[in-house]
Amino acid sequence: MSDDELRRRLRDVPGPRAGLDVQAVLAGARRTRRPKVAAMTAATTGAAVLIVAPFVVPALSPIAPTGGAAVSDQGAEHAGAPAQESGEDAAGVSEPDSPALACGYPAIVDETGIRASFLDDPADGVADLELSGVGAGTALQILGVAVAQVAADRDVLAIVAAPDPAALEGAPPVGRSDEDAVVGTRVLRDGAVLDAPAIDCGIDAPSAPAPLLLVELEGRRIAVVGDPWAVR
Amino acid sequence: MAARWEQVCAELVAHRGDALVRYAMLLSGDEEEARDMVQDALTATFGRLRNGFEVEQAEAYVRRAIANRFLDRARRGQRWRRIVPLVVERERVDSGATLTGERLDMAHRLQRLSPRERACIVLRYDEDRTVEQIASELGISAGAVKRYVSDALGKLRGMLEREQERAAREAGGAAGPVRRDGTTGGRQ
Repeated sequence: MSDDELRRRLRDVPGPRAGLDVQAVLAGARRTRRPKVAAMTAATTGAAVLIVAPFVVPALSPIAPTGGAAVSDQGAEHAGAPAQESGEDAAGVSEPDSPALACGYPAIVDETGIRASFLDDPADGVADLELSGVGAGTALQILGVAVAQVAADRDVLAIVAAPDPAALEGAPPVGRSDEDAVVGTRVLRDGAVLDAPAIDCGIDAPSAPAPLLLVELEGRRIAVVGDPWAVR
Repeated sequence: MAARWEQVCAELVAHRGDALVRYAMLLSGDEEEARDMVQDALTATFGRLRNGFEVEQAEAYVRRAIANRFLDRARRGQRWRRIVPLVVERERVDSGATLTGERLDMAHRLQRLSPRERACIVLRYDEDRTVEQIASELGISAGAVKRYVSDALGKLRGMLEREQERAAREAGGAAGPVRRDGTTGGRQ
C-alpha cells in the first residue's frame, strides 16, 4: 500500500455527525475556571503539614532572576535593581524599571533539569503542581509559587507577564520534597499560589500560565519558571 | 455578553465539531466514545486556556487533548483487559449505516493496530503531520514515531495481502491455494 493510497483510504472513511453539546462544554469549562474555595482551605491546612524545615522569610534577600544563580541568605550575588525599588502604582501595575527582572526568569528545566507545570488552573489561587525529572537524592524545597504568563506558541521560554521578584518573598510556602520523598515525579496537591500583580513584558502572543517558583535546590535558592500549562 | 473564550469555543464546535469527532473516531473506532473524548477534551481545554487564543490555535490544543485522552483510555483499557480476561469486545465503529465496503474495512483495519500505531498512522496520513509534530503531540521520540508508523504500515500491508488471498480463494473456489504474489495454483 503506497502512502498516497493509505492517505486516500483513510480520508474516505467518513465521520459521524458531531452531536456535541456546546452548552455542556461551556458549563464544564466555567466550573474549572471558578475559584475553588474548598481547595484553598485544604491548601492552607496542607501547607502547614508539608513544611518540614521552613525558611525564615525575612532573611531571604531579593531574588535576582538573571541566570537563575543562587542567592545566599546574606544577600543577592547578582547585580540588578533591588526588588524593593520596583514599586507599584495605585492600580497594581509596576513601574517600568521592573520588566528586566520580571521578564528575565530562567526556565527551571535549564537550571535544574527538572520540569514543573500546573496541573490545573492557578487563577483562583490554588493549583496542583507537578515536578518531573527530580533525581533520586535531590533535595528540593518549594519556597513559594506564583504565576508567570508565558507564550504558549513557542518552543523556548518567553515570558509575557510575570510578578516582580520581590513579590515572591511574600509567597506562602507550599511544600517540600527531599531524597526520601522524591524519585522522578512528584505532585504537590492544592498548593497555594501567590496572587501578585504581573508586569507586562511586551510580548504579543497567546499566553498560558506557568509556575513561577522560588525554590531551594541543593542549597541554591533560585527563582525559575516552569512549563506553560499543558493541555492534557 | 459571552466571554471571548466562550465565543471561540462555540465557533470551534460549530465549524470544526464534525472534523474533531471524525478524528476521535478514527482513533477510538467508536462513535459514542469519540464524542465523549471530544466533549472532555473541549471542556478541559477551555477550562484552561487563558488569553488570546483563536479558533485555529484552540483546535490544535483540543486535538492534542483528544490524542492524549485516547492513549490514556487505551492504557487503562489494557490494564482492565489483563484483569478481566472474559471481557466482551464491544461492537466497534458503528452500525454500518455510514461505513460500508472498503471504508468499513479500512476503519476495521485501523482498530487492529495498537493504540500508538493507530495514533501515529492517523496523525501522519489523515492529519498530514510531520514525524516531529507527531512526536511532540504524543510525547514520544521521533524515532519511536518512525518505528510505530513502520510497524503499522507493515501490519496494514499484511492485512491487505491476507484479505486479497482470502478473496482470491473464495473467488477461485477449487482453483487451489494462492501464492504470495497473488496468483493461484492447482493442487499438486
